Amino acid sequence: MAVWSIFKGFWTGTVRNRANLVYMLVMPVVFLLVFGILPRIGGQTLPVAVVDDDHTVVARAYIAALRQTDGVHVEEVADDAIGDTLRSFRAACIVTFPHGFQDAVLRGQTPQVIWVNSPNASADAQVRIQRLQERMQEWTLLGEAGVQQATAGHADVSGTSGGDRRAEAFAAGMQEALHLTPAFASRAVSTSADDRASASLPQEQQAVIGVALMFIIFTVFGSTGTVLLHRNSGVWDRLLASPAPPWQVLAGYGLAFFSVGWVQFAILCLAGAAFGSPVPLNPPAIAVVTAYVLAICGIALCIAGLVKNVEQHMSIGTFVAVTTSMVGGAYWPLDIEPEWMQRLAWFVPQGWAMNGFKAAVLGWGATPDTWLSLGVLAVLAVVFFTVGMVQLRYS
Amino acid sequence: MRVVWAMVWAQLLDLLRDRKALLLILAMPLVLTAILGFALNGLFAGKPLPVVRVVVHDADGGAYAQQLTAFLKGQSLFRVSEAASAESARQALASGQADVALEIPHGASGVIDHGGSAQVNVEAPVQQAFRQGLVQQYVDGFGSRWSAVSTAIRDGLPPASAAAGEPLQIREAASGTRPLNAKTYYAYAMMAMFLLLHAVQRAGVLVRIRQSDQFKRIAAGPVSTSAVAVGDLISTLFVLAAQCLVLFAAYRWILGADTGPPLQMGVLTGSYLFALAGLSLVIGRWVRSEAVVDGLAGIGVNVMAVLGGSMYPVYGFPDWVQRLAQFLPNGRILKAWLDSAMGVSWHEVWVAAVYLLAVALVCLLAAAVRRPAVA
Amino acid sequence: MLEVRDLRKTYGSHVAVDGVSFTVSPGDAFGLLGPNGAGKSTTIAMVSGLIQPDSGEVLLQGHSLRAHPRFVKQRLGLVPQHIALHERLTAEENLRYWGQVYGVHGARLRDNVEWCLRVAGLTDHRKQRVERFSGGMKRRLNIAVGLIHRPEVLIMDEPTVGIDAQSRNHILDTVRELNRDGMTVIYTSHYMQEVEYLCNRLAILDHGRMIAYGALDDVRLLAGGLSTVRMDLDGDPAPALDALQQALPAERVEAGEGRISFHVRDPGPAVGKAVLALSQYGIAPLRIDIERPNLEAAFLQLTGRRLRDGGDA
Repeated sequence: MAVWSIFKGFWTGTVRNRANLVYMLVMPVVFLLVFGILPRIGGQTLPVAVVDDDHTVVARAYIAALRQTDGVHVEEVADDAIGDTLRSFRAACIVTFPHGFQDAVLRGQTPQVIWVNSPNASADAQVRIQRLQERMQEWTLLGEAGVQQATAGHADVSGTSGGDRRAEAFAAGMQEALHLTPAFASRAVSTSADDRASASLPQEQQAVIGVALMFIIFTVFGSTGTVLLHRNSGVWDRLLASPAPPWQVLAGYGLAFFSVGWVQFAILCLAGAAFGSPVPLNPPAIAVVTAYVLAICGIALCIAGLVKNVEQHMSIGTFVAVTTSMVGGAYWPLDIEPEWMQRLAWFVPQGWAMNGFKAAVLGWGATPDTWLSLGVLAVLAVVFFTVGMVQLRYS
Repeated sequence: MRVVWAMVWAQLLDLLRDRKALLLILAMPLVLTAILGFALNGLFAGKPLPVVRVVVHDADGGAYAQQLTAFLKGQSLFRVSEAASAESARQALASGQADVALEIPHGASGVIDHGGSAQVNVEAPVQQAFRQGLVQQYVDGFGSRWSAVSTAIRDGLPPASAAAGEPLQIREAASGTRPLNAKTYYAYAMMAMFLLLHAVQRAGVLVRIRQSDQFKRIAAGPVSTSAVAVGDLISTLFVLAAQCLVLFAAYRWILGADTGPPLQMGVLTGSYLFALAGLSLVIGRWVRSEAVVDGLAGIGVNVMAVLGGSMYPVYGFPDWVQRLAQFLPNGRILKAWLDSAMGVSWHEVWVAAVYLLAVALVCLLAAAVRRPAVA
Repeated sequence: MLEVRDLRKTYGSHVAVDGVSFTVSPGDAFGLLGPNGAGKSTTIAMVSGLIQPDSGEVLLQGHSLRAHPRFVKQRLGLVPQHIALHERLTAEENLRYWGQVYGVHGARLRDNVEWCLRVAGLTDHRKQRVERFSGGMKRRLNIAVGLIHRPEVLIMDEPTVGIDAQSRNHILDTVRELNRDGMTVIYTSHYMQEVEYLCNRLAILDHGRMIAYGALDDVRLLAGGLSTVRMDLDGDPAPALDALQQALPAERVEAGEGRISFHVRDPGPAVGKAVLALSQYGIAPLRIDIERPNLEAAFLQLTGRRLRDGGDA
């Protein structure tokens, strides 16, 4: 059957091209590594840099308390690294304990810290910074109370020789703050049963799926480009002149493009599994990939009908792949974008494919959200693939 | 020198008349910067704080609960209303009149009097999770402050000084660093990447010329090979500089990206262009086949761009990747450009510039030891 | 056997092929001659079923291409103008691929592959990828692929465009051999020597119209049996032009820089007269070529243009 010969010939030619193999195997894995290891900038913890110019019991006690605070990540930096720390986004704020900090505490003066906020601290981070400052006030208060208590109990602490012991009393008082029972404790209660619109994929799987969606476009454009080559070289004419019916020729090529897209996805899936973030291949996932690949094949064929040569085809393909993947949420979760940009995802297949994958990975089952994504993808697939095939037939 | 200028002129005309190339080196970086700048601005500046509408249902009615409500009312961030029942609070939430509902349970004051912790439910639909978090922070803050003060008093601190504002003085100092927005980040990220791409593509042109009869013509002429090399170097520098200027102007005045002091930017950019021209020349000299250069342009540049932070902010990478990025010319220049835009000392500018010039020097030496032969 | 009836194809307002009809009998080597853009390739594309004619019909053994495309296509073998091969497949893989596309399988496919490799002289290079072939080898394989299903009619669309003399001769000899062994061949070219060498019958196309059709000798006669005389001279013929025209009143003498040419029924006496006329002006011939009646002359006679000037003359 001609379908099979065309399919086989296409694949033999594809795997014998070393550049193709690099594009299909090496590049996606590199992208996966990079996007897979990305921590979210400005994530759940507040990065705080600390400069200790005092090197005293009290200053260390503050730093220890900072380290024990939930939702804060503390990094100690040197005095001269402040600028670089801020420019490298390693801290939302920098707290400096100046020389003489403990002395001020022990002399009963108001101790002073120097506080530098990153100009890039988000509003959310600023609220958390404010909260952290309040915590430090509380620590100081309880530290003072600790000294007070020690002084009241033991007269020897009050003299100048008792400085060390008073410092320790201060530190002990601060420790108390960490075990304080707060008068009020909040508890978050969600009033929505379960909200799918804002659910997001785990980052590693988001990376695998996103990179896969992008590279499917690259490889499919690479393979539909061969139609242009075959048309220019006369292979296409030869096929049309053969007694094989046109539908078999179209089916052979269509199957080849489709399988290339799927193989690309499978490669990413395997790589994801190897890196420890497997993407489940359940029926919704299979349906999503199938429809997505068909839609991309159709789009690529339509563009192949409009351009003159393979170079044009590939450069348009690259452009389309990169821009629509960004807009569609294949590179990063869309919720970090402004809302109007999130809406743009409605207009690119990747947006619906990402939603479909959410359904598949998070196990939504047969809900309206799942059906909506699958339905839109199916419509895109049918429309674009049909148009692509028709234009291929009559080109 | 005439030869050199003739070569530069021919290369420039060649570029200006190649519409596809212009599209790639000018339009692509602009479009990508615009998309990335808008999409990822949240990573840099964050969203501004919203005003949160809180509806409070105080089922307790005790003093502590009233203090909490008053405290929240005192915050400019919140617009607080009170509901008579839990039911009406939830209704306000459901109808969208309030973003977050606060339920202070009956008997809360009693729990606190016995040294316990009163649990307060902060209710919100999932879309309002961010606002919900804000309310929680303030409630928890109030709770822990209240306990700290009462503990301090119990431990013997005079109530007057315990309640008196701030025992720790927090002196806020200016950072001396300007904020960075996504547009600025990606303007430089795309410039670093597309200049690199262009440099590698120019290496491809060198390889192609060497394989063509054009090179035979040059080699047969009375021009020394070193003059040809200088011509190649200068024309690459020139073309890259032209691209750089156009992009820079577009970024600065169309997209509104920030920039550092002109002199710093000039030194850095010049060093980078030298490094790239050197890289281009060394590839052009050492690589034989055009296919290999195409591969370098397609894959090598992409990998370098990703590692160098052109796709995703380099600050999000693990430390070892960030260190590695500093060895790549494109990663180094991106950091240096951004540092300069945020404000940096000349010392650090020179460190980056010297590194880039060293790369250029190594490349030029490597290119010089290889004399091109007629194919 | 193959009958082409009144084919017509227009693209917008441009008439590419305008009422072309011819018949090819079994064992014929049929030439389709014409300048670039004359409509040869469009005609071939319609005959081999690549494009639908606006009107007209192609019949093979009485079966219409339109009604029975599989029957007809199964018996036609097309050799496109370009190298229509899969570059990354080997010679043998290409032959197997195209064999399967043409519905040849099993032992028959094996036999045909061997035969095609032999015909193309590529038996020793069967395992080599086409991308590593020389230009001539690619051409030969390109033809061999057209033979893989042992077609009854082999259609070749300008198979010798842009190749070196040696490969060209090899191809011409191969086609001649195949034709001698009984294969019917349709051969298009704008090189009249090739058609003269290979074909026993031909049609000449110009501007989409058939301007001559028949056996080779008959078409040659259309030129009125004129021979072409070309003379290279040791001086500028311009001053002698009037004298020449007087010496040869029936012919139109064309003069170029240091050369003249004219067409004449009986070249012997005419050459004598011309040499004499020239010598009166002190011009002597360096070289004299006489071409016996040929297609070139026929074409010139029919269109007033030289064949090689192409369609844009």
